[in-house]
Amino acid sequence: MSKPVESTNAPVATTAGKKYVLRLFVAGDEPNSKKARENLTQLCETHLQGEYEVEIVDVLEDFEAALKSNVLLTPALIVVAPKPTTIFGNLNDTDKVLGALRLSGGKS
Amino acid sequence: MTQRKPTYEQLEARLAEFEEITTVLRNGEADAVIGKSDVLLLRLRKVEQKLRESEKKFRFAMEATNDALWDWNIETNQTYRNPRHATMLGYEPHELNASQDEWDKRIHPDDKRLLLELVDEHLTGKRDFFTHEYRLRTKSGDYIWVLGRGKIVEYSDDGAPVRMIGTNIDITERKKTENSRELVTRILQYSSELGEWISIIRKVLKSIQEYSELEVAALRLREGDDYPYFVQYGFSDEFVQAENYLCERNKAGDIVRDYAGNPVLDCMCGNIIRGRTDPKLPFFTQGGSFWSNCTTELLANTTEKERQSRTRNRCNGEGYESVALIPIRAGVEIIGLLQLNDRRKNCFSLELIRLFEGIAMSIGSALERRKALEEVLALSKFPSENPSPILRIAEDGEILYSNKAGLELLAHWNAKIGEKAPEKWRCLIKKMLESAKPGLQEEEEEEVKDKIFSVVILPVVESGYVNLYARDITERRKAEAEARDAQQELIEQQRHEKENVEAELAKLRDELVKTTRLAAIGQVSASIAHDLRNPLGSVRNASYFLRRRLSKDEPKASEHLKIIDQEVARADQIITNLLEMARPKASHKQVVDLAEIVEQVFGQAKGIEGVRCRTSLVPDPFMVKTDPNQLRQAISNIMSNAVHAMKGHGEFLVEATRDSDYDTLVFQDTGPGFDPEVRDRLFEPLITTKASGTGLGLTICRQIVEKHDGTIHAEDCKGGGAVIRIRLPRQ
Repeated sequence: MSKPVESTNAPVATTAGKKYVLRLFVAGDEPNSKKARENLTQLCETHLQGEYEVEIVDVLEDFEAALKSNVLLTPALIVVAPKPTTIFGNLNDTDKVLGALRLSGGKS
Repeated sequence: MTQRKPTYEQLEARLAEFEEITTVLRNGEADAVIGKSDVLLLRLRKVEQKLRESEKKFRFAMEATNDALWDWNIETNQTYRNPRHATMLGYEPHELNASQDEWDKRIHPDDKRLLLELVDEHLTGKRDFFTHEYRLRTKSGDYIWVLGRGKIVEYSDDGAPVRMIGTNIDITERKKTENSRELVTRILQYSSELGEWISIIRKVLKSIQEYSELEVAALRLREGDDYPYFVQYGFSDEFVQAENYLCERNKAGDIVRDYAGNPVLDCMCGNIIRGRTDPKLPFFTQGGSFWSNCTTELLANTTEKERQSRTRNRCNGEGYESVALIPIRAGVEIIGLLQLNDRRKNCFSLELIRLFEGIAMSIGSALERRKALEEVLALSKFPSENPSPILRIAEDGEILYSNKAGLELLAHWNAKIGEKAPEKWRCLIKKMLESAKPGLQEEEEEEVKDKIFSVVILPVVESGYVNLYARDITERRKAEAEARDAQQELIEQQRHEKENVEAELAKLRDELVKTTRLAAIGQVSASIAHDLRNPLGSVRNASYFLRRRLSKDEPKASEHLKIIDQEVARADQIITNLLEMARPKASHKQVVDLAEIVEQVFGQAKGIEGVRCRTSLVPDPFMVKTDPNQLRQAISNIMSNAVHAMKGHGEFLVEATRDSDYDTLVFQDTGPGFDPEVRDRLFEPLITTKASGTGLGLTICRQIVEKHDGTIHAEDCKGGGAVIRIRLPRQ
């Protein structure tokens, strides 16, 4: 199982080969950001079977990256691939995330 | 056209995103909003502070109380203990290291496993709380008994325990009494056992050592001229060897005798056996015993003459600070002594010594008769002195004997010696004697006026009677009940506190969501309004050019272009409103006529052909000091809502009244009233019932009113229609 890569270098070029490319914007260790991180890790491990790449951007450290990606609020998950979408909030709603990833169980 | 223009699809997505953002904010799922140049953290600072305050209050209460309370944060594994914990263990509060490790080391090794098991069972939900009696080491190295209780008072959202609070109550005194009672019961039991008397004496001594928690319990007994240790538990071999014999010997090795020909016996042990005691001195008792809680002090503060003879001081030399020597008599003759030693100071009380004297007496009697079965009989020698009721009742229920203390019980039974015991007891006694096996005993509770007695019944089958040993347990029961109440109260208090904090939190959170939403919308709008305005301009231009090129015979296309224009105008209005809200506005107050402003607003309003506007102002003219532009805006928003609600037909009434502190403005329409679903959230941003509304009108109203330090409320009018009430302070 691949683990989310902690990084503050944004934006990062999409790596070829992986089906899902995700970028999570968080604000340090604020409660919702923490929750979003946990939720994403669990969701990836359960549903994406190693077919993913996650980059975590801490806006408190890299504020420019958020502006560049047009992120207005954290936590925010940008789905870069397969289809560009943005989801806000702490990702408690698994269905919503799965929907954005075009996986069954979600409302697409 | 230098900038890349977003497509309509992108704009749509952007608006959807905007919608999602407000939802996320409303649900409190956001941590930070990213503005043009900074990140705005939405952390619930106010709430945290509130929590801390409440926590502080609780801590303060904990420090003030006389109970030892603790508060364990299970997540961080940190425990707060109030200062009573330190003083309970003989420390000054600052002396005690509060770390969990340090604390764990204080728990008696024999009690630790069970305690941890019980806590664990509570944590895993197998018990509703935990309670356990265990021992804690004090500063001096002794142990005290505590009754520990604890209960989880807070769980996380996923049900994991987060916080446990509890108490430790010092029950050493209670334990001591319990122990001595247990000891008496044991000894009574042994006495009624069959068997070799030596083994019985051993058991008795072992029980004394065990239950009194003393280091040494020893018995000296006459053997020829001397009194060596017959049974001893706790002395080192060296000590026994050196101290075994009491007779003084001359250089030739012969025993030195007094004028009557009796051997001279050394040391304090010799005094006790020879009866050389003086009850006027505090370290001797009426019963001829010696006791000291600090031999070092005794040796320093008394003379050899007071101590009645030369003392060898080996006990003190060996470190025994607490020493008690109790004579054992067979009839009137002292045949040995019971010795109790401990290196700790203050092990004894006069009460305890009395208890030992009683035991020594029964040992003496037992030894004298050397028949185990007779021992219960022998016990009746000390009952007469015993402060607790002791009775003997025959098989047929006749009361054969009662000591002085027992008379209270008899009075309650309304019986005298020689008469019958009450029915309940007769039955019990009969049953016991019929089924009696050696060692059988029963315990009953009896309430006598305001006292509660615990009565131990020991049958003596061969003689056809039972002995009753009662003990006053009123105090103990009371203490237990009090402890329970205190515990309950504590938990109740905590629950209240928690509920209050939670309610307050919920309230604060609501407020916070409102304010952060406003702040966030400001930030968001600042960063997207610009982006949206440009493409909207392009759309409007494009529509304009299309219209010019349109041939007259395409009414459908023209209709669509009209819709485009309308919607662009609406989008533009949303942006304007947003910017209006986000922009910090300075108030320029001046005194204006309210009627004039209402008139202006009404004059500029749209779709009012079927609406009548009426004013009722007291006094008239009604002059208010306010920012006229802002007041105009507020009234305009309210009126526009009213006109929309009345679908263009009805009456819009403006009422104004005044008292010494406030101006009250009431706006009333004749529409259907508020939608109950949104009534409570009317003033929140983006709440609208209008298909074309921006959901910002009343939010802006509130903003304006609050800027004037006023309040705004919405209510339904009794006769139908909606009412908005604004109160503005009059400086």
